[in-house]
Amino acid sequence: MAYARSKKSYLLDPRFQLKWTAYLVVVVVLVMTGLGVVIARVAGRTSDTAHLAVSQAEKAFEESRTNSILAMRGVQKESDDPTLAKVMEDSLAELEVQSAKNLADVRSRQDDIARDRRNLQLVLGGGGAALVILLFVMGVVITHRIVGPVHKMKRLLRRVSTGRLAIEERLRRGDELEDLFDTFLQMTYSLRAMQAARLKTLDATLKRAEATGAAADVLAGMRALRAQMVLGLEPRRASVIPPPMV
Amino acid sequence: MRIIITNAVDELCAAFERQGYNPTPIIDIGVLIASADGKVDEREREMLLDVFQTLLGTSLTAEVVDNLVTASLEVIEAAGAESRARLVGAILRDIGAVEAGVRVALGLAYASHGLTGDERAVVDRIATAGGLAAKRVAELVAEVGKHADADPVSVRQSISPGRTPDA
Repeated sequence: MAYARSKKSYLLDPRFQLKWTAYLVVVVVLVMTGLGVVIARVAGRTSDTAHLAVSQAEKAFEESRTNSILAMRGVQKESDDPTLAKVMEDSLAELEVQSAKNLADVRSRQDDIARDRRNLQLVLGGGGAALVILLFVMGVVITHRIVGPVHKMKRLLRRVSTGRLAIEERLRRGDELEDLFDTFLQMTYSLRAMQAARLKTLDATLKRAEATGAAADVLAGMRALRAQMVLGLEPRRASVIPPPMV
Repeated sequence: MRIIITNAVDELCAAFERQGYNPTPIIDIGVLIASADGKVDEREREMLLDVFQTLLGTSLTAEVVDNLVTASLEVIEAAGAESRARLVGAILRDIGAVEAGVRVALGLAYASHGLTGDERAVVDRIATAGGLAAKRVAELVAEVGKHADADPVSVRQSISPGRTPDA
């Protein structure tokens, strides 16, 4: 009996399929976590280095300003020349602007590094989550290729256990365990052939027994045996409800 | 009771035929119930004779019934009663006739000495393997039990159509 492949039919044996899918996902999550820790550490160190660089740049900027102020005061004290003072002032102002620009550049680089770190974390987290979902789906689909045939085989084996040996079902394309299923089919063919041969022999013997006037109990026994052998091969008549007792 | 049993047997056989199974698990149901207390007594043997005759559609001698019962008992002994009950339940689930199977089992249980604890355990095992809820099993027990108490017609007559009342 062919069965449609629906969402539900992908989880034919939830315990087996989810267990192996979970193993697969856990292994990948562990590997990803290990790699993620290494990457996070490297990113953290880069961020720390950038932070240190900014601190150093701020310190240098402050020292530069202090030096400029001291130098300015020194010039004003030593010389009354306003031109020299003006030149000195312009030069220090230019130096301060340059220092401020350098500090802003370093801070901008630090912000870039922090942003890149956040993006890296998002990519790693999002990519990891997507990979886990993909692995889960793949795990269910892959295990379904094995569980599907096993599910069908279990059902057919239960049918054979009732004595029904005619099997029309086949595996779906792409299913695993084809060799096992083929061996099972060969077994049912052999058993059917034996059953048919026995039934023919019994029918012929029964016919001869009837023709030669064999004892009634012998004939009844043979008919009972035939009824057991033919069970399921011929349509059964429905039971008739007996009339109510008076 | 006879309507319940006869209809359930017919429903079971039709479901077996529809799904391409042989109805032999009915033999297992009968023997599992009859042997629930550890032995198959004379009254249960007569009940099984009727079941097998109904199933095979032919008259059977006591010897043939003995052979069938012995064969089934050997299988149950080898496989284990619980395991066999689980298989029967799974087959009933395959053919979508768990309730009919449970009705037959309950009918047969009530037919001998009423529903004993051992027989109820077998019924529960079959029902559980078939995926039938405990609540529904309790409803079926009440339903079949009600007919067993109210209808004096024996199960033997009900599962063996055409049988005379004094047979």
